[in-house]
Amino acid sequence: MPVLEIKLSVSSDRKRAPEELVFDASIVNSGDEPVRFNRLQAEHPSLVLEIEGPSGTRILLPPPSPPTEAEMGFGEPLLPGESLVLRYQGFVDPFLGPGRFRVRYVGRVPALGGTPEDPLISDWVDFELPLPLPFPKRKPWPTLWWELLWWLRRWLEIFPWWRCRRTWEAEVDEACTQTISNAPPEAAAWNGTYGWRTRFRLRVTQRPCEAEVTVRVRVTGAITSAQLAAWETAIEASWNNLFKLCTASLCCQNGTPIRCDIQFVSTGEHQVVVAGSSTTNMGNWGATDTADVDHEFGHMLGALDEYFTVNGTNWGPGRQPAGAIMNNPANPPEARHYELIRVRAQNLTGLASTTTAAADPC
Amino acid sequence: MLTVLHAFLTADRRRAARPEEIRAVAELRNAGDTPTEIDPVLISSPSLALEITDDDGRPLLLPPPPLPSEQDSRVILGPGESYRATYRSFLPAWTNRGTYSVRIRYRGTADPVTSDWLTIAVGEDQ
Repeated sequence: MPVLEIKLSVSSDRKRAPEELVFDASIVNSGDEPVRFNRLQAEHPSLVLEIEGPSGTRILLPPPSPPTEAEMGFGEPLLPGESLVLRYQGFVDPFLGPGRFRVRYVGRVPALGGTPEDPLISDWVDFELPLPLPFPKRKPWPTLWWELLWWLRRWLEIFPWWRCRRTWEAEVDEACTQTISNAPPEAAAWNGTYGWRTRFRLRVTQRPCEAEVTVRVRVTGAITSAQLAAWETAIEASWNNLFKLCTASLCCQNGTPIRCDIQFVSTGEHQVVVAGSSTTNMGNWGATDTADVDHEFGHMLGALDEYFTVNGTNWGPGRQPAGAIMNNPANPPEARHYELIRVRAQNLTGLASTTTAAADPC
Repeated sequence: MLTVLHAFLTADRRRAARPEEIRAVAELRNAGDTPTEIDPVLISSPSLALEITDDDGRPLLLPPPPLPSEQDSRVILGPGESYRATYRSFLPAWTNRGTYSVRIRYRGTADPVTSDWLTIAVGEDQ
C-alpha cells in the first residue's frame, strides 16, 4: 500500500525578512510499494504551498513558470522507506507583512503525492512577517520625505487617469483531468478518466476593461475557409461577453467583460484540431458542426463535462433542455465555466475577483 | 448461430516526429455467421475506443469524449462485413516523446472486444 508522509518545517528564524525565510518539506514513503513523485514539479511553491494571512484569508502565490518536459508527468519512483527534502525560499511576497502567517504543503495530484479527493497535506507552520518596505528604520528627515512621497503616490493612485491603464498578460497552460462514472449501461463506454491541457493566452487590460482569452488552434484535415469562419462565429457567439470579472478595484468598476477569441494559425498553436466528418472529442471536430464544437471549446478553457457523474458530481443525462453548454451545447455557458480564467486573472492582477453575468451590476 | 466480433487496429506509420502525424484505422469485423449490431460512435471517437499506455504501462489520458447523441446511430454488420473508423490524429498534441502501446477496446458488447496492441513511437522520425 503506497503511503507518503510529509513534514513541513521552517529552517530559518521564523521572524526573518520574507525573502530570507526557508522552509523544508520532508517527504517519506512509509508504504511498502514505490510511489511516483515528481520532485521538479513539487519544487514550485505556487503548485504546492498554501499560505493563510493573519485573519485566515488565503494568500495567493504568483503563477508558476511554464512546465518543462521533465516537470510534466508522474516523476520518478520513491522507494519504500526512501525520503526526499524540498526547500522553499523567496516565495513570500515582501509586502505581505506585518503579521502572523502560516503555510502548509498540499499535493492534490498524483505527481505531487496526492489526489483531489485525498491530497497529501502537511501540518500548518506559523511564521511572522515584519513591517514591509518602504518603511525603513526611522530617521528624522528621510522619514519625512518618505512619508511625503508615499502619501503623494497614494493620492495620485486614486485618479483613474493616472492609475487605470495597466495591462497584464500571461500564457496559461494547465493540465485538466475528469473522471466520468455512473453512465447508463448503453453509454458505459463513457466511463473512464480523461485528460487534456488547457492552453490559452490571457490578457487583462484596464483601458478598455477587458479580459481577453485567445486560443490559437492549428487545424488539419479537410475544411474550407467558410467552415472555419462558421466555427469561429459559433464559438465566439457562445462564449463572448456573457460574463465579467468584478473586483474591488477603483478601476473597471462596472466589471471586466470576458472575451474569447479563437484564432486559426499554422504555427505557435495552443491546440491542434483535426477537421473530420463529426465531432468526436476536443481534438477532432466535425467540419460542418457548429454546435458541439462550442462545447469542445469549453474544454479548451478548462471546463469539465456536465453529464453523467463527473469527478463525483451527478449531472444526469447529457443534452438536458435546461443544461448549460457543458451538458447541452445548444445553451450558453455558466459562470463556473470561466473559473480557470477567473483564477488566472486573479493571480495575474493580484485583484480578488468574482464572475458575474454581464448584465448584472458588480 | 455464431456472432463473433473482431477488432483490428493498423497505423500508417509506427514512428513520427509529432504525435498528430500518426494516422490509424480501426476495424470491427463480424466473423460470425449471423448479423450483429454495433454502435459506430463507440469506435469513431478515439477517446471512447482507444486504450493507450506508455512504456511503464501507465495510461495515456485522452481528451473528453463527445457528448452522447440523442439519436440511435447503431448499424447492422452482416456476416463477414466490417466497419472502419479512421483516426487522423488520436494522440494529443501534448503527448511526450516515447513509445506507446495502443489498442482498440470496443465497449458496445457485454464483454469488450479488443484488438492486439500496436506499438508506436513519438518524437522520432520514421
